[in-house]
Amino acid sequence: MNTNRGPGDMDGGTTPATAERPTVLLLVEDSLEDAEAMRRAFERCGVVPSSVIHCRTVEEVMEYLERRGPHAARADIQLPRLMILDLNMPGLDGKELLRRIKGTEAWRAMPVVVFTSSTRKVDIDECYRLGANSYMAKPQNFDDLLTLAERTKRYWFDTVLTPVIKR
Amino acid sequence: MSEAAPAGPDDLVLCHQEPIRVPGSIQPHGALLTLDGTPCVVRRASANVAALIGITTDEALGSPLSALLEAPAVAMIEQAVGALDADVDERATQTFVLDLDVQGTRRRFDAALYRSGTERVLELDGARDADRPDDERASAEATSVSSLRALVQRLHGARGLAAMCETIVGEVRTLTGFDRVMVYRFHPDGHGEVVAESVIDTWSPYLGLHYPESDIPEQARELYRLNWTRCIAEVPYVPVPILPADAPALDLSLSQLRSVSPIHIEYLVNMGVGASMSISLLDGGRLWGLIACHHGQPRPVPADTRAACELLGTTFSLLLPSLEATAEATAAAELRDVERRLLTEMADAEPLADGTFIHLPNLNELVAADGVASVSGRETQRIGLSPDDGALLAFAAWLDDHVEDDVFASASIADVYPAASDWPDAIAGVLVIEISRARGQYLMAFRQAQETHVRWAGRPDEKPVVAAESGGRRLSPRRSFATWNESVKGVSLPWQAIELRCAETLRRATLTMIVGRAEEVSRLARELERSREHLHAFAHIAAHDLKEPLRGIGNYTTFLAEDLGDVLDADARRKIDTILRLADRGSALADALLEVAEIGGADRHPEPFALDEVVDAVIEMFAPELERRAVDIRVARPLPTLVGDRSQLEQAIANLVGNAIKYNDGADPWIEIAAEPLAVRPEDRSADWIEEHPLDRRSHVIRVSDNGIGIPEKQHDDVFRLFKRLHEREGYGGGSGIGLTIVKRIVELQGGQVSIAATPGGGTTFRFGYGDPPDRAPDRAPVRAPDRAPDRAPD
Repeated sequence: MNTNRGPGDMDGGTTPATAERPTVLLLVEDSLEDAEAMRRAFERCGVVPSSVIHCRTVEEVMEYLERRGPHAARADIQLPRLMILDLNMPGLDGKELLRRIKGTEAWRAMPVVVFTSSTRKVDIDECYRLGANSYMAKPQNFDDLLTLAERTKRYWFDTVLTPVIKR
Repeated sequence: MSEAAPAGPDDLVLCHQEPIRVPGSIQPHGALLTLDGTPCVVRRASANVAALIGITTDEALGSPLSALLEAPAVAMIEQAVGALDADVDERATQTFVLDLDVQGTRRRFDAALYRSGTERVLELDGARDADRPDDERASAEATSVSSLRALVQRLHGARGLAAMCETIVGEVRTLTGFDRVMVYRFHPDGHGEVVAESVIDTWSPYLGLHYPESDIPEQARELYRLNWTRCIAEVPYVPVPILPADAPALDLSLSQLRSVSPIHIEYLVNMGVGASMSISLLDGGRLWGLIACHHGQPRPVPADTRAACELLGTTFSLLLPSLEATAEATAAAELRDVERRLLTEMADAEPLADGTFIHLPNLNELVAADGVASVSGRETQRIGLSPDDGALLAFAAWLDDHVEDDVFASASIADVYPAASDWPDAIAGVLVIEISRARGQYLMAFRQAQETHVRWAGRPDEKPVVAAESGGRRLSPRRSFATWNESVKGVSLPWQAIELRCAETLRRATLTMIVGRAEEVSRLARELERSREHLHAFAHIAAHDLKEPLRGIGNYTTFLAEDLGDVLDADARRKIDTILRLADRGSALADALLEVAEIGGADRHPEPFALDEVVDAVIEMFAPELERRAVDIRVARPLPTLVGDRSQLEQAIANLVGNAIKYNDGADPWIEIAAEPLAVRPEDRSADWIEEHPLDRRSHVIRVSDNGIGIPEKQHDDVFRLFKRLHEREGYGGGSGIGLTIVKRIVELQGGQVSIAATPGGGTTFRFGYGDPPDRAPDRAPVRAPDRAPDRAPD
């Protein structure tokens, strides 16, 4: 079986699947406040906090994906099931990261959801061209964020099948 | 009445042919002998020698001088002859004072000896009593070296040409005692003008009068160049023949006694002149003008006075070139001033109205004209006398094809452009400055024909100039005027070289200004584009960065509320709700800012689209609300096809329809959408019309009406302001207050305007102009074909 199934897997029966194949959400967000709000929102809709990885810069993401630095000793063998990516970051920005991921054979299949406060047409257009799998505008209040987290989780983890990408 | 045949061109020709160099006679106030050989033998004698020197012509002719005159006089004459013979200058004149015994009395004469052909001519005049020298004192005093030096210094001291002319007429009048002394200046076309005058009170002034060229025939001008002074001691006089009458004609070009043309005498008599003198004024070798002196009574001028006048004339002539150079330099400096001022004025001027590339009065300032006009493509401007607009445009079209000069001038434009003979107000002279042939831009100055313009001496209605005719004359100045007037009909005063230079300067200044302005416009456009981009980027970043902390405030307040849960009492919960609401509102404002900035940042790509489709899309967008509120939406189909930015127009109509739905609490809400093409085609709209119909700069007026709550008239302007809301925040479904701001921006970006009016019976009607006129020209003037007739109009 080469697909990921989330907590609500139909054919996996109940929850045990999560234990052996933890849901990994890679959250790329330079704002600690936004990151905390998202963690909280995803936790509220059933995503285990420990399965959420938060990176604040592109460099941290690269270290994670390449198992360097603080991630050198990590034992997990799979790429995250979903990356949620903020565009506006200090240093290399989200688009550059998106370009690297979608331009790298080993990482290309990983779903990336762009999650940003920009609603500019050029940004939306460019992100999809670079290979983004979804583009969402950051909501301004927590209720809306909760709704969005719920939908994201239900779609990407409960509805669609995603590839299992071995490192 | 005159018995003479009416004067016509024949008379004028006759005048030109008059043998004034060899009249065969002299004036009666002096006597003339010609001397031949050494010792001198008399060959010719004037018929009055008996009366003046007491020798009959029979005695004189063929006799040696020594047989006629006493020895001292003969010795004096022979001495002068020797000096003359030794002088290589053919036009040299020896002057001396000669005392003769005339029938027992000692008479003193002013003698002049000069050559004519192979003969020597001795002229004697100014006869007076040699024993009573008192008579000579006055003129001797006036012509003493010290007096003359002072006089010359006064001339030198005069500042400028006009002042020198003023000075010299006064000095000559004092010196000679003539009743009238004038400086008469020749214009480049040959006609003369009195530019300075000193005259006795009882005579009418001639100052400022113009005289036709024919008044002074060419051969007379030639004599004026040869002789510094000419005198007519008594008018009229009976000419004294030179004998023998059958001898070959004697050239009297250098004579002071030469008998003048009977026509000239007639002329003087007509003016009531009893004696005249003229002093030539030369500029280099060119006859610049004359000092003309008239006296009411006969008045011989003594030789020393004539010599003094000659000195004045030569001094004036010597000073002329430097004065003219100074005048030219002054004019050039003034021109530079004008140019500088023009450039400054143009630079400071408000942007000129479309099609106007110069303030016309500037041209009027530079050249003496009766009217000025500008043509730019199809636009014209006129000041003063000018052909009408149609004639101007036709003339400009002719210029396009026939004139290649940057500055073109003609004193009789109808000669090369016959249609000009229909121009009003006797316009004859034209000066044209080409600004841009490609754009059909010309500046023009117009001059009327001379007869409408100049005070001509001899003009029948100007009585003081010419005394009543007494008849019997072949040619009189008055008649010559009539003849001349016919010959210059339709000819203006010529355009002067300085005026053409002015025109060239103005052209340069204007082009510089236009180029400068074009550069400025494109610079401003670039700057505007840059600042627009900056502003857009700024608004975007500001709004974006503003939203992040607002989001944080909202989120953390929510966390606080969740985490504290039960601990919070009702009051704390209300405060937390307020924080959340404010954070939301801040975010909404930032979003609105983004939205408005987005409109300015979007590039326009006008293309044709069907308005029907746009309205359909809007109706579909609002379908749920329209249905829920049972709004009757009426569209005046078919709607036209427009040229513009489709998505922006959709947003504008959507905002208006959204408002119309939102601000209607009536029982039977309706919305009407219509578009009307403009009745007046864009190119036919005058500036005034556009002023009154601002919406109509566009191809159509789009109207969105409703029967909603309406907008009080005093708030009609407010509703378009950013973030301006007329209702409390939660009333009528809330809203950020940018909907109409966006409508206004979209419409204005396209060059239209939005108006608000009350719908009859209640409600609001919005109208706005939209759509590029399909036939809008890219430039004011059509591009002209580069090929054109190579022929060039004569200047």
